[in-house]
Amino acid sequence: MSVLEQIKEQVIAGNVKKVKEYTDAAVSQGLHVSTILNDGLIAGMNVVGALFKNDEIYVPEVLMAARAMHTGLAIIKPLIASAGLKEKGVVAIGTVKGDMHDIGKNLVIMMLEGAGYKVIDLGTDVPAEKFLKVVEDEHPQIVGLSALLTTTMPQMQQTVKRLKESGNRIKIVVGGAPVTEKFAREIGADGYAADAASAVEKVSELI
Amino acid sequence: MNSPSTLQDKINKYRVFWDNAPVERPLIGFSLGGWFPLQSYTALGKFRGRKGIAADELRPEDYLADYDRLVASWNGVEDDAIRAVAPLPPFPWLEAMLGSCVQVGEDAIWALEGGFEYADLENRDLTNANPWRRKYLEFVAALKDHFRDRCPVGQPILRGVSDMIAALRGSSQMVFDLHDTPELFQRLAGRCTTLLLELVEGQQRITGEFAGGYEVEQLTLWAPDRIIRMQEDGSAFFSPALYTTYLRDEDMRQASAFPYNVIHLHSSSLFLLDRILDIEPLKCIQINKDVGGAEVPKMLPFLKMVQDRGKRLLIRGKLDQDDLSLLRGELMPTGLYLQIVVENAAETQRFRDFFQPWQ
Repeated sequence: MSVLEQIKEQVIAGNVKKVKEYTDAAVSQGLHVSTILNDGLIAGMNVVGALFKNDEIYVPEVLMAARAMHTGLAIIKPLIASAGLKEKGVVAIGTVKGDMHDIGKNLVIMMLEGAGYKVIDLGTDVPAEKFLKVVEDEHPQIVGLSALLTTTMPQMQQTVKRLKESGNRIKIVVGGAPVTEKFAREIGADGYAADAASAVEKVSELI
Repeated sequence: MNSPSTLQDKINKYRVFWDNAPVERPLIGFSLGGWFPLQSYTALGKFRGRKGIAADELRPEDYLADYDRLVASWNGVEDDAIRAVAPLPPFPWLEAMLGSCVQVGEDAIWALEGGFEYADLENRDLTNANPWRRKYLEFVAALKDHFRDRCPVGQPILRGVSDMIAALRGSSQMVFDLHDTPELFQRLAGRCTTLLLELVEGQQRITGEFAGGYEVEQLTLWAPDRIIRMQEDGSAFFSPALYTTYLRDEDMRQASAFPYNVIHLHSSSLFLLDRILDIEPLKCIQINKDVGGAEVPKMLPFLKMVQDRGKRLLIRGKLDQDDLSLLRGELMPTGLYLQIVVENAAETQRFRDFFQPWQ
């Protein structure tokens, strides 16, 4: 098995130690950073995303894989800039006001970063004003809104409304355990993601 | 107010529900009011925007007017439910006892996630000397004294083990802990269960029985003996295997400690339902129909699974006429309790048809 296949397999297994070991080895072997990223780390996360989407694995396995992928990403990050690689796009994401849950948002961030996007993490309990400010200051193409509590879903609706009214040409993707496609349509979001893997697909479709 | 003339009739219906005895229609109760706690408990408003509250800042007497207003709002509601009051139901009592910082937003109140180190566990006094535990029981005693036999003082929403640990460690870190330091997770989980059990037992020692039983406030669920409300919202972050390894024993311990019990679930945890139903002492499964969440037709296979396994089923949410018609056609009324969330008493009139025998 090649070192790239090893990286991919260990990302899928969520083995932080092994991903670090094989990524170091790949760098030492002089493999191009884009090859390590695309054929090793991202390839592993793509498999994880597909397994998750098909209900073959659960949230913990995805989190473990994402953590392992990030370990590899940290090793090659200094090389990415010098190699002139550009991100696929910029996404700003946060959990809406009143909602402190971060696991879904974090999963999406890890998957997006793993897929080559720059992600601005706004954190949890994010008021509409903060989303508007990041749109003005950082010009992301996509804004992602997450909610876990049903009680904060009206806040999601309010934030979408404010973002739309601002006139900025951004696309809004919403998701979170209680959020449905129907609800996303009703509140005027441009996209809905049922899970972290779908979020990556939706972002790439909208950018 | 729970009118004395109908109280015995209501109690009889609850007994039939718990006995899983044949009935012509399910128990039907209404849950009144909005979702936002600070609208119901207005005295909490003075903490709006605060990050960090000390137990001494809460005084039960400041909230009695809110409770009186709440109890008055029950007038005119005709249903099967015995309604209760409870120590500030939205308050993250257990998380505060465990050391979490309590934050109050515009409409909601919650425990800030993260910041807890396992080494801190040894330094936490979770006995009755804990200021938040003392405060909780002070609320119980004040409510009992204020309402006496007018209504029960029930168990509020007290979070489950996975919820408490997610609050203490952060939900992502909790998952990593299961892999990196499982023995520390298990030790903390055991302490969380003990705290929950002791708190509910302590409350029931103070309140004593109401009409021969005890109550879970949020679910307007009366039982003819001691009852505990359980929940594991954080189980949505587990796999079935991890749930079985790390949480099921805790849920088993809780369910076994009380003659009556109910576990609260959202649709996001229904993938674990089969494992949860394996907990033999569990008597009642409560499933939420969440606003914007899974629709009733999608939940139906899970609802039927509960009934097929012989457990009582309580469905809570903004159920509409279509939902209720579907449930009437698909579920057995035996051992079934529908708790319909409405804004006010007037709204309850739309549901009178469902109080007729289900044929």
